Amino acid sequence: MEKIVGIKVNQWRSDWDAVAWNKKARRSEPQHWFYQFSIRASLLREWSGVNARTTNLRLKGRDDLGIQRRHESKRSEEISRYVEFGYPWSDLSEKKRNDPEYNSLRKPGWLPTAIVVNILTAGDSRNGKKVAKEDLVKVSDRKDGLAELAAPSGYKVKGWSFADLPPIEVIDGQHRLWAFDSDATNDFELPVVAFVGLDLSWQAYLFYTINIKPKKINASLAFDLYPLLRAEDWLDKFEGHIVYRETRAQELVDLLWSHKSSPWYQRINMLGESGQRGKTVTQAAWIRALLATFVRSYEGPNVRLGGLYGAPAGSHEEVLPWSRIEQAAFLMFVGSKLAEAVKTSTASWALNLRRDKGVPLFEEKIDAAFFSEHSLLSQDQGIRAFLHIANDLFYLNSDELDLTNTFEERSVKEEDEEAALSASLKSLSKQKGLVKFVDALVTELAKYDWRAVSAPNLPEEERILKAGFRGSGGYKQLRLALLRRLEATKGQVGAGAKTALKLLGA
Amino acid sequence: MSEYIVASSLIHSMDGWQLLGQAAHAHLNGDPDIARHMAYYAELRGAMSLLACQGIGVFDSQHFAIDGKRSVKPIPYRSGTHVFTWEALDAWISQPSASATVLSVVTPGGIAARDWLDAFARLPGQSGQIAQGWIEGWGLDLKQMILDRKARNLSSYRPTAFHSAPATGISQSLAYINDFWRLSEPSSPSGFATLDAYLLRQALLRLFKAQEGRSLLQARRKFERRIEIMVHAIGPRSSASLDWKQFLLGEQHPTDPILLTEAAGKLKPEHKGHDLQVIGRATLMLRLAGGACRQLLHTLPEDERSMLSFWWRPLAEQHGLWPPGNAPSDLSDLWADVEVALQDASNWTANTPAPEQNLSAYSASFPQSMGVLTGAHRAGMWSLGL
Repeated sequence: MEKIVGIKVNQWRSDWDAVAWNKKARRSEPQHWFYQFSIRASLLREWSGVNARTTNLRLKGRDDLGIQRRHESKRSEEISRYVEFGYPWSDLSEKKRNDPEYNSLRKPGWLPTAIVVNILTAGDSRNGKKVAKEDLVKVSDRKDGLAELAAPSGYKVKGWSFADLPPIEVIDGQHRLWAFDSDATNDFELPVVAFVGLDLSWQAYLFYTINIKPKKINASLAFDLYPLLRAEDWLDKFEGHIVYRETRAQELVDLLWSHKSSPWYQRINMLGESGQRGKTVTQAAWIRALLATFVRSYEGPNVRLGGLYGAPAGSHEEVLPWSRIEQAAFLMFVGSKLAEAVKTSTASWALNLRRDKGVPLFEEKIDAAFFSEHSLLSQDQGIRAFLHIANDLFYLNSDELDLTNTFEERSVKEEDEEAALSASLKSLSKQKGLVKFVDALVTELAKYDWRAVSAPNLPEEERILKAGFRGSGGYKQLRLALLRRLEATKGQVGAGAKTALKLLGA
Repeated sequence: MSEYIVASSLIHSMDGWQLLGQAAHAHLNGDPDIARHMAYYAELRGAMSLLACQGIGVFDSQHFAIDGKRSVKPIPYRSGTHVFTWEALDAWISQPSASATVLSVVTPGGIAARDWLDAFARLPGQSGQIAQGWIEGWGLDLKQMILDRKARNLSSYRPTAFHSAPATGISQSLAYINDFWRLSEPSSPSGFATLDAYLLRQALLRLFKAQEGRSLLQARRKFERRIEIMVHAIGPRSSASLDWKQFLLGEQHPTDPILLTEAAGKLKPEHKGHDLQVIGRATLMLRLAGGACRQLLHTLPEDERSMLSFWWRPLAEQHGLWPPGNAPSDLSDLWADVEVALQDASNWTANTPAPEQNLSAYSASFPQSMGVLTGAHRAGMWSLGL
């Protein structure tokens, strides 16, 4: 295959030399230049692994993308229509598109803005994998200021696929690539800005400055499209993470309240109004609880116990690339398991709550042990404690449970929430190791006496203990009490609880 | 001196919230004069904090400012603390940059009020009049105290029983306190999501009337259209509990909180309920001050911000917010104590016959609640986003 000739762009200022490079934080000093090429869409798809995701050869999880990215199919479909038919034809309804009357609206669909990519070098690794020697794409400088991009030495025009990692990773523009199908006959060239050996954190920074800073896309979507951003410390300074976390926590609570698969369906006090039977925990309390647990970064400056959705986890220190829907599905899955475990519990605390006729619930089928106003599980303290425990143990066991690869590729679009949630829940139920862990956890949790201080007929000793769980001090007390109880159990749950206690200094 | 001025912004803010809590305590204890007195000083400290965030240090008679080159210069105009604070505030807010600052602190739905108002106003600079209106309204007592020496002397020096307005009843007081806390519940990045939403709604109505010369009742369809266009441009995130379009049109949560209604009141000091109006205005001034301090703090990286714990941890323990050495992982967790106290108060009000509702009975039932409900410094803590 012929080499692709491009331009070398020397773009560097001497004052950039003062930037604090940090290899450990994945911010190594980059090359002081990048390249511009014109590359066929089909070729770029092959070399960046886009094609691999649409064939039976695709790898599970996100390894094949190198950096963790998400794909919004609807967006790529829009671009595909735009490329073929231009604007405004591409935005018409299907009915109008099928109407010849509107054919005059068809125009060229130019894509003049560059796809931004990184060409991996031999020394770069992603999740422990490297680009095979025969798969490397190489760029060499010419004396005339131009540059040549050479295809992988093992490249074949037909039937080529990379061994471990694709040699190119897309920083910005993946949806434009997805918009082209793998058939090369309708191909055309795309302008490409190519960095070589650019460290991961710089890639996240580039994505942010291209897409979010100019407010091209909303923060929540951006953090889903580019999960790596959740771990970028420089974003803290501009409240980027706080905006993401707040928004994400709100979105999750919305989903937990609005979907039938959730044990808290219609049972969150969304309006914050008093006297709401069966809806004792407010939306605001749920949001604060998620911000303190799943969506947070780290527990503290020196405490490496992070939020499953907000901090790097596992031995590779990667953020889980779960989308909003997948994050909600996980909470629903674990919550439902706990509700079921409590429902089938014959522990005395549960029986006592069920016997209490003084609490009329709005549905007879509701288990009072889980939803009674005298159960901590339907109070702020209990919800917080449950989320803490779930987050702590899953965070600490993320490698063992292979959480990165928990969810299968969905054929449904994320925009169809109900279908996407169902598909995600189905994925979860198929993960045997995960299900076993969750079952073990909720079985132990269901044994705990979840009665609140207000529960009738509470022994005095218990009443004094439960009184300590009220107010701001109660969050920590209940969390520690549960961890200490779980510590005594065998297996991963007990080991996880023990590690959590140690990290918390308790 | 420059470090002093900047540091004083945080301390004035916290002191202001503390004074506000004392005002609430006095009010609940049936002492409206002390309540008004404390609330006035809370308002004053809020204003001083806001000025300090802009590099203006208010002292006894000689005041200072940090100029564009970061050097501290004495301000030629000399006057007492109270007079200077109001006049400096009044002069400052007339500048476009000041309006931009105020409108960036208030963030309904996490979006700066400035963006909302600019999208609604369609003309640049129109939103500035809202910021000016806010400062004029919320600093009303500062302005009046300067102008009305008689009122000042009456409040500070004369025996209260000879001129005092009657106290508000306990149930009404508890309702007001409940409102205060519901508006101050920690939520969005700014910490005052509910309050900011209501402030926006009021501001839009005011702006509409200023531009169109007609009220919402007189030109509802036009107002609706402008709201639709603005919401479409801004793209705020609506949720099950808050549909922005419906809320801003008054179709969702149509009644404004008591605190905001009272804050806009114009009662004289000798009238019953005046103290609640001053408390309301002080709350709003402190909301601005806290937000400005938060913005200042967030120019620092997180690890440098966390170094300030040497100041706020002992302060919080001193004020009994938590046992020594047992700080919550997040200051917003302090809300849990308020929620308990509010629920207790609500249950008590609902279940106690009206003739039996008095301060003595309430205090006997919930001896610890008063301290929590009047502990406004909690809100001060989480307003800084530490």
